[in-house]
Amino acid sequence: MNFGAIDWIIVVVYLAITLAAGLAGKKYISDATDFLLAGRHLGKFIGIATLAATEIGTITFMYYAELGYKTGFSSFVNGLIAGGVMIFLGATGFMIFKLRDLGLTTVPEFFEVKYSRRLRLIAGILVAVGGLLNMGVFLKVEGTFLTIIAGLPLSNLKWTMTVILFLELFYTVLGGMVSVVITDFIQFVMLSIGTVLVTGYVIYSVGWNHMQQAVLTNMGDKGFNPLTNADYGWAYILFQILLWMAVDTCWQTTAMRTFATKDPETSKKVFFWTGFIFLGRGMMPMLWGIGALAYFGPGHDSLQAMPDMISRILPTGVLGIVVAGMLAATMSVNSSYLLGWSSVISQDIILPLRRKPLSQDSQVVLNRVVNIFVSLFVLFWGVWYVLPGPVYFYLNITGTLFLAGAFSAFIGGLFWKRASTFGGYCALFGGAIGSVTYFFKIPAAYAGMSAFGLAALGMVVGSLLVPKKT
Amino acid sequence: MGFWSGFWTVNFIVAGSAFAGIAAVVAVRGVKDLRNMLADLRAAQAARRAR
Repeated sequence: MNFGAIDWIIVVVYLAITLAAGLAGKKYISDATDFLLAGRHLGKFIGIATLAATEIGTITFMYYAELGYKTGFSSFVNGLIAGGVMIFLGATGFMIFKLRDLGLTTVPEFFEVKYSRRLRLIAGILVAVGGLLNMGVFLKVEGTFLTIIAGLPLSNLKWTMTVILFLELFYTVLGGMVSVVITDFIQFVMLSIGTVLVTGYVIYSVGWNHMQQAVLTNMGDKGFNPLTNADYGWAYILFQILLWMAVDTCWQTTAMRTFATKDPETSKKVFFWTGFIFLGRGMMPMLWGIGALAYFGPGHDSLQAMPDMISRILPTGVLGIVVAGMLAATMSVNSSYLLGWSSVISQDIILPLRRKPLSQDSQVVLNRVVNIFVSLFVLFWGVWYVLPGPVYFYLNITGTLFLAGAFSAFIGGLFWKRASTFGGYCALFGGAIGSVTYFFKIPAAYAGMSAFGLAALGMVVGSLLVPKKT
Repeated sequence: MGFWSGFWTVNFIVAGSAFAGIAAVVAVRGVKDLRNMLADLRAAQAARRAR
């Protein structure tokens, strides 16, 4: 264990700076748009920083490293798709340009604009359920990483989870999106330094050739070729392309960045450049997992192998910088997700159910209260829930619960004049039914494809059966 | 195996370089962007108060 006093000092100084910066955001909040979307003032560079920081967490490093440990270089296909799809969306502006143009605040709001108020409520409930289940495992996985790497006993995991949560909750509740964007920028810089440092150390300590040899010895051809690997194949690749199109356009935390940019052209640029970051966001932690395979061999716990290796190969001092970077990654994701799901619950479930509109001040207070409840749920779900398989597949499927239907409904609402409200209902229910098949032992790729297939079918058949009222 | 090994090596080099390069540019130019965002928020607040 190399985590020494200098490492603790680096981590504490980083946390103090982040908290101070986060709290500074509070004075810029004067209405709900400021709180939820930073007044729609995001420029290109800060947009890239906040979008990348939001979607790069310790959870990301953990699940991608687990894939690298289990499936070798074949896992790189996931990073290639995630980055490639985002670059495509940024280059063409497909969907994101029109979505920014609509001036939305939340994803479910789209359903009221294009379909009906009641469908917005249903979409809000599905977004909240899928999002909370998805975020529910973050703390446990992130806490595991930080506990191992800091050399603390795993019995301290619950305390690590609680401390992480309350730190990020503190500034998110007070400063909303403004605080999240300010801290995201600091966290993006820190996590980038940490990511590059770890990658360099893994290649230096373990060796590229050693990693290739370890994959070849333990997995053979399927460790390199995703088409012959039973965990991937064409169905999985197609599912991932659809999933990432949906994540980039309909996932609340990503979409909030689209909605918060200055204008549609800025959102295109943000997506295009962040897409390149997403290539590295996937492949670098996957390489850490492959490094752990070469370092320990195949018998280690797949989720704990990577942090265990890092805690052994990084020297004192560097470890502190990396932990601060990973803590930054953790806090940036969690604070954005807290804000994202809380905004859906308040804006798309509670407000539509109320007959009377709320004042701007009351909306901000409501968002803060929901933030606290979401945090408590995440803490308890993280403590009690046991994952049914690899983290990555669990996250894919809980996301697909809403994303498959939403993606079809978004495509219909934006590009098909005959898309009707009934078609929207069928798409949402079809997508949700398809995705839950994963929990009945259906492989993730088939569960995901059936979710997108049923959602698209629901949109088309539903719209033709019960046409839009003119 | 030979093709895929080379393919992923090239992909990794592109991905790692792009990540490091873009992160460095964003770290430098993002500061100005952040200042502009806060200035815009301050101006919007002042305009609201004036109304």
